[in-house]
Amino acid sequence: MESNSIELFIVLLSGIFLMFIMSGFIVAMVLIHRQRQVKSRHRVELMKADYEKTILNVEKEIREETLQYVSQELHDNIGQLLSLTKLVLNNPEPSSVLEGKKLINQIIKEVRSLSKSINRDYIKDLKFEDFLKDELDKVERSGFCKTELTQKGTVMDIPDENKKLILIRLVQECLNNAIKHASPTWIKIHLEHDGPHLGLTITDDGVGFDTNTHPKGLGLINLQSRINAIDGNIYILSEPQKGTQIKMSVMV
Amino acid sequence: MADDHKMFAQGMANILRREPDFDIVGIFTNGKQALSHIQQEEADLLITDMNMPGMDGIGLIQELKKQQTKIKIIVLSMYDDEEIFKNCVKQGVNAYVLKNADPDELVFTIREVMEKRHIMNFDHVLYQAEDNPFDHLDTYALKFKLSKREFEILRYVAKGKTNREIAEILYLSVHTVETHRKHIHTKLGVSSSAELIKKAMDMGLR
Repeated sequence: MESNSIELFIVLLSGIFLMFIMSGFIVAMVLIHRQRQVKSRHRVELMKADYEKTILNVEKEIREETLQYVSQELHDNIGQLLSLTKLVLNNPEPSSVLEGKKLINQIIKEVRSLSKSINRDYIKDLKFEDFLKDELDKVERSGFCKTELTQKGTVMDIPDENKKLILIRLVQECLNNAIKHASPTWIKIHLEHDGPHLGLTITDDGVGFDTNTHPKGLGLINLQSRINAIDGNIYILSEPQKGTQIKMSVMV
Repeated sequence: MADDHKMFAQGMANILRREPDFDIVGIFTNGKQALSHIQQEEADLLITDMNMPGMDGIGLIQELKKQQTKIKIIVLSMYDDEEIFKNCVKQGVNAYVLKNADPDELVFTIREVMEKRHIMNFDHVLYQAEDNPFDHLDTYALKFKLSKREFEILRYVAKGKTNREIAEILYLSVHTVETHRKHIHTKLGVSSSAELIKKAMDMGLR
């Protein structure tokens, strides 16, 4: 009898002990799960905040680029045309007066187109391909180098405005890099539409760089993080003296 | 001439071509083109802009100085910025003229540079682009074809200043002032200083 009750006691005790362990385990599981949930929610929020920050930065930079362009145009183009008009009108001959009038007409035209470029609500009104055309035109008009825009596939616009913003800024950054560092004789952009897939290739025949020694250049990291923000890919092919090719692909 | 603004370069070239002793041998839109031309063909003077795509004005000047070419350099710029002016002086530029300076100022500066009597001074650069204070004398300007600078000198002559004093006030060399005075004499058809002063009084210059 006695040995029986002791056995029962031990069984009971170990049962209770097991139960405690089990419940402890369950509680721990629940807690861990909760924590993970909180963590992942936090991560999603962080990613969202990051994305919003990227968009904001991109918007700011595009605005700055526009202001820069306007200031440059005022100084280098309109200012010079005005100076020239003053010089021409200094000579009181009738032929000079006629030339002065022509110049003033030209200035009026330039001011009008400049005001359009500030006023235009870039994202709402501008198709992506028109943006590319405009940017390349600007490069060519400044006499920097030749440019070319080619397309393949049925052209469609990018429905997501934020994606478009980021792509616009990426293109601007690539062109700025080419202008600042590459001294090319031409820059080509190739746009490829394949259903929702958009491919963008920017090629120049400039000085290029060694992708092994420059992988962490600030500009390149920026490009990478921005294309990541819209789940796209970027490949940079370059060799010293052999030009640069930047390929981007993204689902739109 | 090197300037990336084609229309400006062309217009400026047309103005300079009016001078019978000037010959424009080439107009280029960037530093590289200008450089290769200067290396191949002879030219006495380069008039260059600062802002150009590819090789800019400073790049071009440095390259020319490195190669020790004899060519004289005048910078024709939109920038009325003393730092840029000082940098140009440091690079050994012969003259700095603003794009909105009176055209006869540029023509005159070209002659000064070629005759090695130009004095670099930033106030002088600014003065060249200032409004003409003798606009009210337009009828005389048309009649005698006097420039802003010539009016200015005539006024100081009427005040009884000597050539040396005028040169100091206007940051010009005495030789330049003498040349101006010779021109004024011819234009007004006078042969003595007394006649000149009387003419100035008649115009109301004081």
